[in-house]
Amino acid sequence: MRLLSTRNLIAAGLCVVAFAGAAVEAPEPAAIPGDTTVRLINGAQYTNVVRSLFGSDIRFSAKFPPMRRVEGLVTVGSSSAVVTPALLDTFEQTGRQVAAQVVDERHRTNLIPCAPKNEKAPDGQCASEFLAKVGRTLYRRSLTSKELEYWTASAASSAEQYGDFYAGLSASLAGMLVSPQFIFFTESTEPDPAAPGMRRLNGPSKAMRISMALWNTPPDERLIVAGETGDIHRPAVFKREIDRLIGAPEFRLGVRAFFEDMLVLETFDELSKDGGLYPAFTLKVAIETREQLLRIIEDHLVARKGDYRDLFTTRNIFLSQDLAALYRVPVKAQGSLSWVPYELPADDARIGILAQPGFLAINSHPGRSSPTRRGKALRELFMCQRVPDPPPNVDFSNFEDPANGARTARARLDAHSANPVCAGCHKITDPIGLSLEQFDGAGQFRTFENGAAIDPSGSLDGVTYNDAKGLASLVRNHPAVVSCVVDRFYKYSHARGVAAADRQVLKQLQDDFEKASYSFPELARAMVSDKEFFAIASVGDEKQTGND
Amino acid sequence: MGRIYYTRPDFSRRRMLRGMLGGAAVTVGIPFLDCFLNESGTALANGQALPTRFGTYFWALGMDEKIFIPKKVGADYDLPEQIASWKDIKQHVNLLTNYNVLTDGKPNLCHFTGWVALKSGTVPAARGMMPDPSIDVLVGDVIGGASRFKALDAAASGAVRDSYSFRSSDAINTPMVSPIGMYQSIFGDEFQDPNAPMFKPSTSIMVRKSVLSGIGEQSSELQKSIGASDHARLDQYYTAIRELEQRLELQTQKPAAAPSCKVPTDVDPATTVGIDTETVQWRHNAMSDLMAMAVACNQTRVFNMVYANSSIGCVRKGSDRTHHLITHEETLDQKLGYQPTNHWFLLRAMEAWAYYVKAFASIPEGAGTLLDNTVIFANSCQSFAKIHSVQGIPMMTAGKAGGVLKTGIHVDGKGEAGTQVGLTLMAAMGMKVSEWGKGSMKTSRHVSEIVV
Repeated sequence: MRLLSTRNLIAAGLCVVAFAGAAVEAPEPAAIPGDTTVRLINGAQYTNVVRSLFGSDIRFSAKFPPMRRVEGLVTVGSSSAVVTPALLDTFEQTGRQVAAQVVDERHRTNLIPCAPKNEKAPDGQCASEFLAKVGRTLYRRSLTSKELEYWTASAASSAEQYGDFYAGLSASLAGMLVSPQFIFFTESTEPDPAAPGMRRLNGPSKAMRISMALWNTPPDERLIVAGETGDIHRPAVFKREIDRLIGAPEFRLGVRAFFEDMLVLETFDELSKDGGLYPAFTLKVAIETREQLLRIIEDHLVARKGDYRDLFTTRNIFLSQDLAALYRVPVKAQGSLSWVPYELPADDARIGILAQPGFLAINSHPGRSSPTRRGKALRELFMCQRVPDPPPNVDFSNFEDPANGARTARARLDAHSANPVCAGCHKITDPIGLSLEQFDGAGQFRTFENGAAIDPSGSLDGVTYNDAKGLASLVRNHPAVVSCVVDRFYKYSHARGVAAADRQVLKQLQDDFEKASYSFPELARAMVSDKEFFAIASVGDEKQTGND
Repeated sequence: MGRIYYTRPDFSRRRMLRGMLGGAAVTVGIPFLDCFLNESGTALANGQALPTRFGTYFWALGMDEKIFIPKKVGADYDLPEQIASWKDIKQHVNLLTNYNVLTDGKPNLCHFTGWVALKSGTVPAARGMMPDPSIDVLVGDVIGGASRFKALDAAASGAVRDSYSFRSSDAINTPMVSPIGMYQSIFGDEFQDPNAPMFKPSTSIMVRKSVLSGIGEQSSELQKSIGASDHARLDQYYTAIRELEQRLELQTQKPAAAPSCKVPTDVDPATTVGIDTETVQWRHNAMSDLMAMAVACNQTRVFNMVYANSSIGCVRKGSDRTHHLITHEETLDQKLGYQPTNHWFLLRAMEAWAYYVKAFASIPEGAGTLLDNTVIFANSCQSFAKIHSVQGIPMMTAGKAGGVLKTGIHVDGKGEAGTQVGLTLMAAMGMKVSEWGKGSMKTSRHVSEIVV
């Protein structure tokens, strides 16, 4: 087996498909390193905030419209996303939905720390107490006196109109949930005492950047305090907080959020298969394939503190009763738990996350598998390589020309190799995808297609192998999967693209990752602990914070 | 593009909302309040014209030229096999063929270049790049503030990503994707029946407006702490806040009577997932009915409907291939001269289009129908999808836009820029646009054949 040199790849700043004529260099982004960001909140973050404040009993749908994926990540796109009138309507509607429940008779006793003197009239003191408390979490800092006065007065005015204290309070809470201070994560700077003339992220922004990277949620109370007091700038406090965040259960949420973004898992919302062809692949199963993928990742990277690369060869998975039908194995629910750990047998053809339905089914057609899509997904999602668009004027008709007698995907795709226009790109994708052909469009194991035996052999960058296990092993040891996850997590945690100036930092992080035996929590720790993580490259006067 | 002005003196009350939306100066009319039709039903009681609405329609994967394009150009065109389902709507529909997307050497990005160019006048340089707003957004900036929703978007494909309406790459409008969700959004608790005998301003709406107003007043604090590039984003946020406030303001006043508004009562609560043709058509037809009624009930003046995703299409139950795959893999039947299965899918798409047009044409309004006071612009992503051709992508318009457009005409574009259609429709909506489009797609020519 031949390994490519990661160092050379990184030094060149390129993602290279070693042999393919149609290989494409990843474009160098134009982002300015170290700039502050203004990120638009996404559905998961919104849900995390509401749940952390009010608990999981509050029912609402935070399925906000998808943001543009920039440099492979929605999180990077969130730094340029705008609020359309339709999106604002959604925020406003969702905010009212949440606020109405918080103040209803069922929840108010637990969620509102005080009771009004008269439920039919305004009560400034109680309103102020509640709004200051929730506002601190929503705005990731204490409300300014002006802000608190405004929202308290607004609650009073609304309460008068309704003749109901709680309805008034609900209106102010709904207003805060649609305000820009909540829906935009806005970073601010302050003069850097260690570097006269320069600026740095201020305490609250620093706390927010850490929390978003590690938990995908705004800072909790302890981190807010560290940010507001400036203690977060002290190395001992900073280290203690990073240790706490990585050790907390919320870190799992953060890991899930990152991989949801990296692996484009939002498309599962619309995944459906032909019920006649794949009766076991129900809507419930479709949703569970996504959850299964995240559970495998979370378990391996966080609970087991495993080597990131072993995700491609792990046999430790999770099954639900419905999902087990795709695996054709019996699974017994364990008490109230709907998911049970399951170890794939050593002789099972299925190994690692590439051979799970979460990867296989989403990268297939509704009624059949797709070696091309699977190969493309592996290249683009796990190796950060870009597969070019197909040329527009290609005739695929010989795919179904009866004279070809093609019964398997391999035979059909051979048609491409005869066409030089197609061959370049398909050489990049198909030899990978064909080795996953023993899993149909729903991810079920098979050995025949249309009565013909499936040949699962393949090759990756010139190295051949016999089956999906061979692919898993090769991918596991491919340097691109390591550089890719470092690159993606760097962009994710900064919510921006990378520029040439970032390459040196990326290389260092990759070295650190290797030294830490490819432990993802250690990668996260190294990422947010690097002084570069908070560096502000250039800040004009107009960007200086008002909170200096 | 040229500057856009709205000059149509249609409304009894109007106010100017000035902003820099899409770089264009904008004037928005507010709806006619306390207005009723005149005796003949051709105008409002005060003599002013009925409002004109603007809609779009998108279907995937083009057409089969041989059985789609009528032989006859002009009025009373013939209906080849693929558009035979237009029999009952032909008189409402203009068919525009042989208009081109001129790429100026930019790559033809499969299932992307064509619709972006026809919708926005700009050929995209790369996938995902949409530097200029789609036509419905431009029209919406002018007339969208006059109703409860600035625009309504629906996708029969059932996927929230299936939108062909955008202000920019970062501001894509999101469609409603199920009939029940659409019903709840439009006709749910917050719907005010324009024909209700009594009207009492809702306290809730007044409170919401007041809260939003306060948010707008605090804008300067946040603006201080961000950079120039993010200023524009916050500006868009505050513009959306102001627009929502204005739409809420409208709802504090008695809505204009809408005699044709019949609030739907029987909506299928299913939220079935899937893109098989039966499911998509079920969604499509239910959402078409809701959309037409939303317009008749004055809930919006701008609306967009998507039939299927540009690069997927639908799937036939029991088949292992999507329509998209079939366009590429199915052999061209030498005897027929087209791909039979691809034709089957396109037949279903054209039936859907016919249903959509009928939904608007069957609602009476004034002396005519809702469709008479509407114009719907339809287009696909390709012409011959097998080779992703963007030359001759078929387009249609339906409706007379309040009497300024002729209908029932087949126009041969003679290979000229397809932006002529969009420019003509913006003019029909009363927008003074001297030219539209960029590069070779820039045009100042109207499709004179369909203009009264």
